[in-house]
Parts: sequence; C-alpha cells; structure tokens
Amino acid sequence: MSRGHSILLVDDNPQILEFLQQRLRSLGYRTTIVTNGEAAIEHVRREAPSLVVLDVTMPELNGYQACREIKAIDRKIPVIILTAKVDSADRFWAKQAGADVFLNKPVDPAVVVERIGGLLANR
Amino acid sequence: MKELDGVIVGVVGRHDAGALERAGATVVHLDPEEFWTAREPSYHAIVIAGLSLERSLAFVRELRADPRARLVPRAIVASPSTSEKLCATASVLVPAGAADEALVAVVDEMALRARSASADAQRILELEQRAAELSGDIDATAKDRSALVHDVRVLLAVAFGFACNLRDGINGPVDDQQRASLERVVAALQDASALLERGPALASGPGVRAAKRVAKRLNVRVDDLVAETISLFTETAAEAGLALAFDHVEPVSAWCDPVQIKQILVNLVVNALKFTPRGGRVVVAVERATPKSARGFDARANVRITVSDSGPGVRPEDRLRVFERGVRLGRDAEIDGQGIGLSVVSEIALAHAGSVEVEDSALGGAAFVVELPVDVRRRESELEERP
Repeated sequence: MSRGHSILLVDDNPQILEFLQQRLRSLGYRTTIVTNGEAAIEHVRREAPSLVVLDVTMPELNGYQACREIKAIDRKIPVIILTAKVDSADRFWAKQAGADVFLNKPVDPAVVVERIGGLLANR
Repeated sequence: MKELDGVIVGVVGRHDAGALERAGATVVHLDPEEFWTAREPSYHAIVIAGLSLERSLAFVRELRADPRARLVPRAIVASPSTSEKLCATASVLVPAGAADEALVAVVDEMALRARSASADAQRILELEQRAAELSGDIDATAKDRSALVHDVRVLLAVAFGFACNLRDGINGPVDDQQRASLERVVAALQDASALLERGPALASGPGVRAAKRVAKRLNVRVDDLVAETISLFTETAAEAGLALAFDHVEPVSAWCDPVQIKQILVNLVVNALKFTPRGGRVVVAVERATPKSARGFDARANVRITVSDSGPGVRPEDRLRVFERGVRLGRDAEIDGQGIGLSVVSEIALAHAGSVEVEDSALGGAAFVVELPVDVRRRESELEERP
C-alpha cells in the first residue's frame, strides 16, 4: 500500500518528526520534512505529495492557514493535523481548515501510520 | 548658612517679604493671575497676603485643583477681620504684623514639610519603578518557564516517538523482555507529557501547584496503577537490597485522575525506598475501606492505599509537618531531596476529596495511608469510562 506514496511532514521543530519519518521509510513511504507553512505550500504545488502531516504552531503561517492553502491547491490531498494543543476549539479550527484527521502530540507513530494507511486507501 | 537657604517662597498679594529674603529664601512676588504662568517648578511655601476675600478664595480653589500645587503648604497672613472661611483654607495662619522671626520660622517649618512630602513622593516613584522592574522580571521568568516547558515537551515527544519505534521493532528485532521494558518507557513518557499538559500551573510556579486540580476523573482500577508503579521500581529496589511487594486481595476501582494517583504512588514508593535501609521491606497495599466520616456527597466507600516500610519511621510530632512543602525532617539530613514529594501527595489527595496520614507500620517503620472516595461524581461532560 505504501509503494509510490510520498508523505510531506511539516513542523518548525523537525526533530519531532524524525521518528515518524524513520517509521514511514521503514514501511516503504517516501518522505520529505519542511519546517514552515510557506515551504509546505510550495512543496505541494511542485511535488503533489500523497498526504501531508502538519503541525499547527508555526511562525508566519500556522498549520490551519497552511491547511487551507493546501486544500485550495488540491482538495483531495489528505491532511493530518498533529498538534500539542489540546483545546476542543482546536479540533473545530482543524475541521474548518479542511483537515481530515486531528491528532494530539505526543503521538504514537503506529497510530499515525494507521491513519495514513486509512486515508491513502481511500484515494 | 542661612535659615531659609534653598527655600523658594511664592508671595501672592501685598506683603513685604524682606525678612524671608534676609533669611536666605528666594521670594517670588506674584499676582494670583500670574502665578500659573510664571511660577517656579516647585515652591516650598506660598504666602497669601493682602488680597480681597474673593480673590483669595478663588486663588486657593485653583491651588487645590492643581495636583502640582495642591500639597504645597499655604500660609495666610491674617488679621482679626480676615474671613474665617479663608482662614480655614490655610496650612498655617500668620498674624498680620507678626515679628519677622515668626514669619521666618513659619516658612522654615512649611519648607521642611514640603521637602519631606517631596522625599516621600520621590520614594514612592522609586518604589513604583522597582515594582515595574520586578513585574517585568516576573513576566520574563514566566516566559522563560513557558519556553522551558515547551522545550521539554518537544524532547518528550521525540523520546516518546523513538521509544515507540524501538518497541515496535522498527530499528531491529526486540525480545519480549526488551519490548516490556520499552512499554514502560513509553508509558512513563506519556505520563510525563500528560503532567506537562497542566501547562499554565507549571508556567507560573513549581510543578507541585498542578496537583491542586483534578484534571480529569476516569473510572480506574487502582490496583492496576499500583502494579504498574511497583513494576517501575522492582529493579531499583533489588539493587538497593530491598524487598518491594504488592499486597491486595481484590480489584479496586475509583473515579480519579490516574496520572495524579500514579504521582502519589511514585512519590510514596520513592520515599519509602529512600529511607528504608538495605535488607528492609516496602509493601504497598490497596483495599476498600469504610469512610472515616461523611463528606456530604455520594461517597459509597473509600480506596485505601498504604505504603509501609521497615525504615526509621516518622515521629508523632512530625506527622503533620512532613506533608508541608519544603519541610525536611532531621532524618532527611543525609538524603537528597527538596521536601516536595509528600506535599504533592497531600495536595493530590485533598484535590480528590481524600486524605493522607502517616502512622506506625507493622513492618517497624512508617505507613503512609492515602484514602480516596471511590465515587465522587460531578455533573460535567469530562466523566468517561477508561477503556
């Protein structure tokens, strides 16, 4: 299922995503890490990844804003919001921004992989 | 040096202030209408003399209305015919025709009061500035603490993620024992992150303050929490030459915050292991108990958690103090610690409408007994069953 799929990982603290990158690559996914919303949008425009995993708290452009832009480019790209923010309002904003899945950090990478698999199976 | 050197006196109206000038004062003669445009930045005294009642009262009203002049002492040169109404506005009355020495003495006294008030005002200003600086320092400390919490949160998330990968064999095969150990690492990191999520409390002070709120009540098997805690310390106890055991006969559940209850257990077990000498025993027991007193809510029973040891015990006179934050007893002198762990236990127990006491243990040392209501229900949407 992972063959040929590329995953874009976005967080201004890239070390937070390295364990996820390690797991995804072990399963055959191609991965790219970028550290801000603008770079994420640019990458989506150029490379059309299969799925995006997006942090919320980033300088300049936050995850919700980046998600809206990504969905405006291609509304079919699945977006997983990954955040340490636990307020119920954050789920609401994630949904408003068009995110497909909302997960709280710290997140078990097995859970993320399972959700990625589920979203890509529907594409 | 003359008596009134450095004193600035505003004389409003008609008065021969030669005596004041001979005494060293700087005298500024003004009409009331000129006072507000031509006055010195700070008069030490104002002398009003020879004005009509109407002009005098009008001038005094303006003085009182001006925060810069309101507190400057006012002397009114008065005669028996001077209106009582005007006299009542004076800081001091100077009889018309009074001797020069009397006028100089009055002005000297007024200047002293003005300088004292000015010094007080300056001190207040300095204190306000210092308060603003301290407030800035507090804000900066709070920001530093928030930044520290954020950085710790990031590191915990990284450690958690890689521990999960190790557990799941992403970095190579793991045997059952390794997987079990990694499960404990993952669980401890999850608990640490959950504690950090009590963010605002931690940002404003030591982490112990977070204990005063129960974040979320779940229906939890307390005996499972005890078993998990004991498994964390089995090797540590063995290395210290101590026997660590769990004593329970039945499953016991309670509506509580599992993260906070684990904090209680960890702190009590750590405390017991610290103070029990090599060759000794630490036993953790959990059981249902009858509440000691009605607490006015739906409490069907209590959960009693007892951590007993064969250490030196706690003297009766210390059994309340030992739960106060920062308190270290005589027996603690050679053992590392800051006197926080037991205060956290107390705060969490109280937050759960429970209690904690220390008694003599059947093992010969201390027995720390925590009692929590089994079922304290609240009508909030936060309640849910733990899967």
